[in-house]
Amino acid sequence: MISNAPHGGAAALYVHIPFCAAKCHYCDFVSYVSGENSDTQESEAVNLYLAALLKEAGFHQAKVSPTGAVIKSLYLGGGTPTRLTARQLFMLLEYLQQVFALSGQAEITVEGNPGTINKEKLEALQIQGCNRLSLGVQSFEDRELQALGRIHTVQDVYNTYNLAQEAGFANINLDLMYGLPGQELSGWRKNLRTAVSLNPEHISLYQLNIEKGTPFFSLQNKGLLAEFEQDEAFYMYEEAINYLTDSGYCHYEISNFAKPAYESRHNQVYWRNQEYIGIGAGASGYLAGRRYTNLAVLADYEAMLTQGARPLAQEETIDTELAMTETMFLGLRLLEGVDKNEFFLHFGIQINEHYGKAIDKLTEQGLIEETQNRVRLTRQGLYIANQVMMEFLR
Amino acid sequence: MSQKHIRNFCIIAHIDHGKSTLADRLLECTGALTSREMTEQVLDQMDLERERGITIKLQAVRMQYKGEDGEEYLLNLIDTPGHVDFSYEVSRSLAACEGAILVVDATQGIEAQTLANVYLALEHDLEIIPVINKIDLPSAEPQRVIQELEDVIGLDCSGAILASAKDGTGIKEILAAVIEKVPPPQGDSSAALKALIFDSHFDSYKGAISYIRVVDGAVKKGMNIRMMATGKTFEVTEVGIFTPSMKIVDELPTGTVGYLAGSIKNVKDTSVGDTITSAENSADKPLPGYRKITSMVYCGLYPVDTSDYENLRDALEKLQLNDASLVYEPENSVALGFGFRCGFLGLLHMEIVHERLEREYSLTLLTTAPSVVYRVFLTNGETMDIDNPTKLPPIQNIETLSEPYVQATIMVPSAFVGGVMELSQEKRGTFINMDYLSANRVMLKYDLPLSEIIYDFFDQLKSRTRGYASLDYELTGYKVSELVKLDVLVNGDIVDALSFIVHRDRAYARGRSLVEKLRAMIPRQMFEIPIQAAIGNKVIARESISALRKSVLDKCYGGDITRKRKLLEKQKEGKKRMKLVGNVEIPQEAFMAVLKLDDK
Repeated sequence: MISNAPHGGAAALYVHIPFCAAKCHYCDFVSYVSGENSDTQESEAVNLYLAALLKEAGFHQAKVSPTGAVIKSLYLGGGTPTRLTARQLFMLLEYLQQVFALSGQAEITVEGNPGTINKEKLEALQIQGCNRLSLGVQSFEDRELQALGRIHTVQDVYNTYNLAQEAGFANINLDLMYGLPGQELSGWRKNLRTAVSLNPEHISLYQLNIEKGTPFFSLQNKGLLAEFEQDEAFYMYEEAINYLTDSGYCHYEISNFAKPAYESRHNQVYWRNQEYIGIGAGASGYLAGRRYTNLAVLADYEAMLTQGARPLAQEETIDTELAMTETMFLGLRLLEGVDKNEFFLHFGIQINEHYGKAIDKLTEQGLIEETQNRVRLTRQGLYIANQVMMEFLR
Repeated sequence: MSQKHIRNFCIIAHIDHGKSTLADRLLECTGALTSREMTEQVLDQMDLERERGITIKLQAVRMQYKGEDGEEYLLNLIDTPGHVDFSYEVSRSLAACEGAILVVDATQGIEAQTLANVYLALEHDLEIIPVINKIDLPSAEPQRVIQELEDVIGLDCSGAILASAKDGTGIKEILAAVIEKVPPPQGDSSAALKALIFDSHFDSYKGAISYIRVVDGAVKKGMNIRMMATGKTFEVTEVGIFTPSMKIVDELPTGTVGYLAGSIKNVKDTSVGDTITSAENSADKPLPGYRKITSMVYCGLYPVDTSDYENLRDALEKLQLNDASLVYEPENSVALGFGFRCGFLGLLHMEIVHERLEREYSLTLLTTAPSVVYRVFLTNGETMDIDNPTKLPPIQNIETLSEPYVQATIMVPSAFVGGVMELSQEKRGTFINMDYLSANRVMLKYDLPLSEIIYDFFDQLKSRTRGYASLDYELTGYKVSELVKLDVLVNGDIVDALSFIVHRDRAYARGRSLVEKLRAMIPRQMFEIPIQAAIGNKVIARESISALRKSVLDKCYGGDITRKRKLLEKQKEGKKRMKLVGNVEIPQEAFMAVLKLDDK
């Protein structure tokens, strides 16, 4: 975790593309509807943003080291990165790889919405070395997609998936959501089966959360959207874990499943509490012991860069105690758990010495277990991981 | 300045009739504050007062003003609270004054506290100056209001002043009336010192500060004084006046209002109502003190973190200096550990004390369900008063139980009389009488159990009269009642802090409603938790909280770890604010749930 490598020791690079064709009803991420930028047409606003993005990248430009590249993963997230045109995607990846020193085997992921992907874009991505595609599928029911405010249909998912495979993508992730309004366990099972039938390398699941400021939130406030029953969500999650592991996927992180050797390297940088660079409006990063979040409003973000300053909204120094806390609650997200030796090597104190009380208590409650080298969640602990993680907070 | 140029007065009013705004205007008009120093509600210094737009604490301020006769006068204004809970504060300030400005809202007319405060003022022989406020409003009916004052209170309103504290109308007239009508203080400047302590507060540097009205003699720095109730003597280290901030002066002569400090370390040595005299030249008789206050409501106050017990005790001690109507004594709860049983003037008072303790002393507290004082007649012929339901003796030892009753005065537009009567019946009230104040305003009197008043009577009254009704009440005595103690069992164990005493006819509905409420308020935990309501051994209602099944944060967008951590921190913070009872975490609000039940 500590290194003198280029980019201040960052192991990964996250790039935020805050544009979408439409805002989904549940979304509270930094994203703006960009009506004018379409498959064939570029908008001034998006190009300005991309220019600003590269200015920000300049702040992290490699102090080229003789040992070469260390960034193991580049992740283009959003928003909807595939809302960009093929040319924009091509140029962006081109510039990013000129600015940053990526390792030869780096994982390069682009997130995409099945409604915004075409052959041309996929080819542009392929040429630029993109080797992983993450598709925001969410559901295999048109009714549910509509309710979520997604712009694509189930048919779009099949088409895009085939197109991606034909274009040469051999590592595809599907994002799925559960706990959707009106969704039942049987419907969720069907979604899971359909997902598995496509045979993707990776599947991410998450429960629909009603976040402040979203259309779903105001519906819920008006009493028009019931809170999803906790027990039901539990059964859905449990079902997913059982079904996906039976189908040959390894449950390696709370929300993530992968075929052997296809675990996302990018997210593991987060879970192993390693440093990473984040650029773009609203993006977060962790560099030189400081976590930062960028300005989210495009105009502010761009104005700051025009003035030649970093577009920071906030920055916080992570002291040793906090770094230990983060190492614990992030590391416990991985089913293999936290490596005791690594903890000791990094912090110079034994995990059991520092967190003995919490570990004993949680062990007694059956929420965590210890092996020779690791501390990890039990199955029970997995379901109520927040209760476990809280114990490691100051 | 001679004694005959001093005027001590207060402002009395029903809540929201514009008292604090009028005080602001008086300060402005006399130049006591420059407009730069002027803020709204300038005498309401507590954040809480400004937030709620009410006065909780009395405040004193000195103004200098040139009267119409060209002479300089010294005006001491004592601002007082208007809510029914704080009538004790009012009576204390009245004792320090010779006159009172009675403010009545020209759009509302007499309200319950108008009446109560006027009677208090008359009891103290104060000269009353009626002021009809808010005449700038289109709906103002000053003539009707004046008529009401004359008819209902029998007050001579020929000199009533029409005013608008908002736009400044009538302010000069009010000041002129204070000078002309309020008598100057009568004290004997050559006699031994006699000063009434009407308030106090604690200053970390100067010790306890006594707010005094010098009745006879004078007091200055260096003098040795004696507290007549305790006999303790102190050397005066500082005397001063309120401008409204504290300002040191050389001497407080006869008839003036100000403060005194004397390195008084123990709060108890300067008790409100006591008389201060000179240690060398002692007065023989103290001034009449205040009637002893009666706490209307009691509840337990406990620190959420048990190690805060000592801090809570210190905080209560200091707060009591600021709020003489607060009483407390240590108590012990099986569920909550060590805390204090506190007595309050009413629910608003209770809420405010709780909030002040948390804000001003950084404590996290929980209050148990409020209770009135029940009187228990035992089979062995003894009687006992209990302010805590858990102290109720075993049922077989009880001959009868009785509860405090009040006479409630309710003023309401006649259109709502039906609704008020219905409500009073539901709350076990007995009708006493009804008077027409004017063609369409009515004054109703009811005998009501105090427990119903503190429960939700006032809220219900407000909602059933669209906010038009006003209420005042005074304790009248005890009546035998069919009462039972209702216990709540959480996870099989009685949580003493949740027990309450209730009329037998209500017990079932309230028990049902309470367990439902608790089920919704107590978050799911790692095991299933049964919640039961019981009378004696008989369970009358049961609910259960299912075990926590799923609580996990999903995806992490764009690596925003800080957001994830903040969510966890927030959850943990919520957990810390809960009280661990047995092995169940109960949120603070749950202990107050009993107040928020619907009687179905």
